Amino acid sequence: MKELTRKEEQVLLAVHRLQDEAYLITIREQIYQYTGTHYSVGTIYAPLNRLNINGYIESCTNRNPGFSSKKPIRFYRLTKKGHVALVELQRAYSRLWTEFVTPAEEKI
Amino acid sequence: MKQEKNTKPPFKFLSRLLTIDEIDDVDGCFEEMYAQMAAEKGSGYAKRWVFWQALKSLPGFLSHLIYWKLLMLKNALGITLRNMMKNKGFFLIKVFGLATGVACSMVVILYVANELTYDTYHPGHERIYRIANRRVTPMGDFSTASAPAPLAAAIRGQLSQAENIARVIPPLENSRHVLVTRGENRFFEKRVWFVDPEIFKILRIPFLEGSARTSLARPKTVVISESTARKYFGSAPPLGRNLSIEIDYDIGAAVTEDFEVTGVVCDAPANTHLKYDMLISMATLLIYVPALDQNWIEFHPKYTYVKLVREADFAAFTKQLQPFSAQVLSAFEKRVQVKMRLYEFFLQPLASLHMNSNLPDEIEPPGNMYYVYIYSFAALLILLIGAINFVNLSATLSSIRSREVGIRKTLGGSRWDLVFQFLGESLIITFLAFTVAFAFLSMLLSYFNRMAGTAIVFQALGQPLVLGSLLALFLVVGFSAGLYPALVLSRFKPVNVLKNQTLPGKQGNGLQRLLVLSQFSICIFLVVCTLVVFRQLTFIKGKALGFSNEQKLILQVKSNQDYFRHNYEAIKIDFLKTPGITGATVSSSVPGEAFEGGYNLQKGASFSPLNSKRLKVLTVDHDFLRNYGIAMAAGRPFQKTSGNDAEAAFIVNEAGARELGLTPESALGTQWTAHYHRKTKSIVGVTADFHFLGMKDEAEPLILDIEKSLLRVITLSLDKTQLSRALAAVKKTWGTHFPEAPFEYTFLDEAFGRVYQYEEQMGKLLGLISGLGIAIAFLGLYGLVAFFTQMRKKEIAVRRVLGASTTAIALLMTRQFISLVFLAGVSAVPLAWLATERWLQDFAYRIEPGYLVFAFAFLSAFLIAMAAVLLQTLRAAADNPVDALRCE
Repeated sequence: MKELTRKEEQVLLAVHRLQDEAYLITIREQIYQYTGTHYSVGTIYAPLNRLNINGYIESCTNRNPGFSSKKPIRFYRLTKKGHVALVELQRAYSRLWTEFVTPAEEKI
Repeated sequence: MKQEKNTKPPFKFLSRLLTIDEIDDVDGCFEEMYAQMAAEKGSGYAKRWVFWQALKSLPGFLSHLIYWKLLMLKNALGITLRNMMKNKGFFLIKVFGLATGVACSMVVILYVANELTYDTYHPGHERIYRIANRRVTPMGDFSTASAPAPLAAAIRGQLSQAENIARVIPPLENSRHVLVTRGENRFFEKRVWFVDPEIFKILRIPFLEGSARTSLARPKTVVISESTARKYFGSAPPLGRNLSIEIDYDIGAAVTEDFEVTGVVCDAPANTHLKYDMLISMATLLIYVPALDQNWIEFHPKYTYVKLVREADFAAFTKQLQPFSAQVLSAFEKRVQVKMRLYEFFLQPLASLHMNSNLPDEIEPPGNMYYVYIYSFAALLILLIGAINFVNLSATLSSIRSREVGIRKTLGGSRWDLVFQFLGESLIITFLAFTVAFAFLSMLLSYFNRMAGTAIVFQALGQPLVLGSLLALFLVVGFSAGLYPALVLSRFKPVNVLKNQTLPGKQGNGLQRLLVLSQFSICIFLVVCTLVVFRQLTFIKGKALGFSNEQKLILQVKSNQDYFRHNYEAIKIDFLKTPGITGATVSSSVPGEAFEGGYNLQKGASFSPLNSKRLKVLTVDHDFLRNYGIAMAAGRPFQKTSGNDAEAAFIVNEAGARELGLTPESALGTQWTAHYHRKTKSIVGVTADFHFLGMKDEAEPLILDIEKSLLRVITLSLDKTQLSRALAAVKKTWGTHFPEAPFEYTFLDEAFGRVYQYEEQMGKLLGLISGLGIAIAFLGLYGLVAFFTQMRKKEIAVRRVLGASTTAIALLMTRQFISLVFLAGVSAVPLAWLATERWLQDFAYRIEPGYLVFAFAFLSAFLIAMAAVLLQTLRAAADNPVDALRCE
């Protein structure tokens, strides 16, 4: 499996967490809540589109229930492959982080 | 994607920048974010944000766009290249035919630009004028390009509309041959002028060394051109050094003295009527001619240039000049005791002098609009022949590309894509042709300069006017050549094309036939013109001139003329002693030189200008008529034995006798008094007419007189069998009499040949152009026929198999082209007849163009067309039919 970039990882997690509410703006909001950073739309769109092309997420266009515009909007949902990727990521990270002690604690 | 009504303008712009997929993905989101942002931070902020987003996506959009366009361009270029390689022969014919035509037009554009931009490079040239005068007396119109010297000072003092005024005066008596010496370097200079320093404020003469303000303030100072400086001083700095210059101020003998070089200026460009090599301070002239600024009536040419102030009124200024005119008029009448009809000054715009002013005393022979037209027209014709080749071959070749067109259309190419493809290809070929044309140009230009006596340089291409017309030429040729295939082929329906319903026509369609027809018409037209010009030249050259110009050596006495005039008899005797010299005579002029000098003659023993008649005068010695082999119509030539011919005898030619109102017989014995020396002499002989200026015009009325004060040429008859020995001996004799003057000689027959130089130039140019035109047309037709023969290869083979003879097949293939050439002849001949008739009218003695010329032109075009066609068809007919049919 190809490794995901940090940004793709964050986007993938956000999509997972948002369930049926995942679209560009909500994903951006979600990532802001995780990291405290306002990323631009382009910064979110690029990894989102990449994940979509590579089959980690799937998408469908639908009317936006929360906004009055008649324009359809693209919603995203995790695929099986995306789910597997997240699980593997978590495992890999937990292996990586097990031996880690924060420097502050070490000093004490 | 459908635009919604509530879409705000910034979104439209933004969505134009995105690909279709991206719009689907983000469009809705953008609207939501916009709404959010507008609610939180105001709509202004939101709008700015949208624009910022648009700006950010611009680089991506552009690179995307360029990437795909380049990809298509690569494809298009590839197809273009492949087409060129596939039809190398046709491609070469197209490029070289067009390049030849374009190179010829470039030369002519340069020539015309040079002729038409004369003196327009001076800043504010539209305010600069030359003051000329119109003088009408009972004896005739004596307008000249000159104005009296005091006029400049008078205008400077009294008329405020003149911003600057300056005089340019040629050395009074030796303007065409000023002897300049610097050590071993001694040359005759022709372009020497006395100038007022103000001239530098009127004309653009940039200084390289020295300054416009101070350089010509003192007497005996000279400013020289850059190339003159190189000629005399090499690489040494010229400033402050001396040049020895001989000038004849018309005060007796010529004066030779040292002049200090106080400035160096840029060389005069090719497009000014006032070309200069040396500019001498006016203060010098004032030393020798102190009355210069007072003498209103004086006949050496003097040119006055005036630059008016910006708001000046041309008409008002001319009117202000008229008091001066009146002053000169009354002075004149007092001096010559003749009631004058008119004397007035008038202004000639500087830029119009070259083309529109042909007064006596003009500085340079004026340009001739006639030749500008002829050359432009000839260049246009050859360009047309080249362009027709191009269009015709492109159109023909593109018809076999209909399948490519069909496939392109099927794969989604739009009609405009195809139009661009074809136009682009033709522009590429035109571009190549222009590149080749530039290479041709450098060769052609030196040839043209030699032929037309011009000094056009390659760098002149940089002028905006020239560049503009070249660009226009490029676009017109490129587009018109690509237009036909682009529009016709792009209209094809793919289905029909792929079903093979549009095979190219068997012998070309109407347009192609018309183009070939016009090509051959032009060729026949050019050949007729060339033949007529050459035949006319041979005709007038072969006609008896009335004198002999064979085996004559001409020595012009340019300096120390005074010595010559007093001692010419002794000099002649010295030359006669020289081995190889069989005769010597002196005269005021020799054949082939235009001259203006004349006598006003009054019948009887006293002179009054009222009833005088003017004849041009040729002053000679006793031996002149015998040496030149001029026959007498009546009376006797000058004779030393018959007493006092030098003091008492005139001779006129037949035309001269007619001009005086007499027949050759009745003229004998009549007495005439000449205004020049107020001597009364009687006519002792009448010569047969002789044509000193060639056969272009009728023989000029002339009077011959023995008068030493006008002599300046020695003519030696020599035996050409011992030429080199004779020349060396003549040089030695020359050295003993004129030690300070360089030995320069011309052969009369060569010099005389120059009287027809414009006609010969035109003949050569026409010959060149018709030769090139025929070559291009031949290649074009050859290519065209090659193509059709290729297309009908199988048909020919089948006919052969069924028993057709080679002749029958050749006839089948050539029939149409032959009729085309016939039609071309029929359409070209009347036009050629009209054009040559117009040209021939300028000659006093002329040929009738005659059927022979037309028949010859027609036949040559016919033979060339036949050669082009038969070369192909005979080969096709001779091929083994099996080879053509085998592949089925």
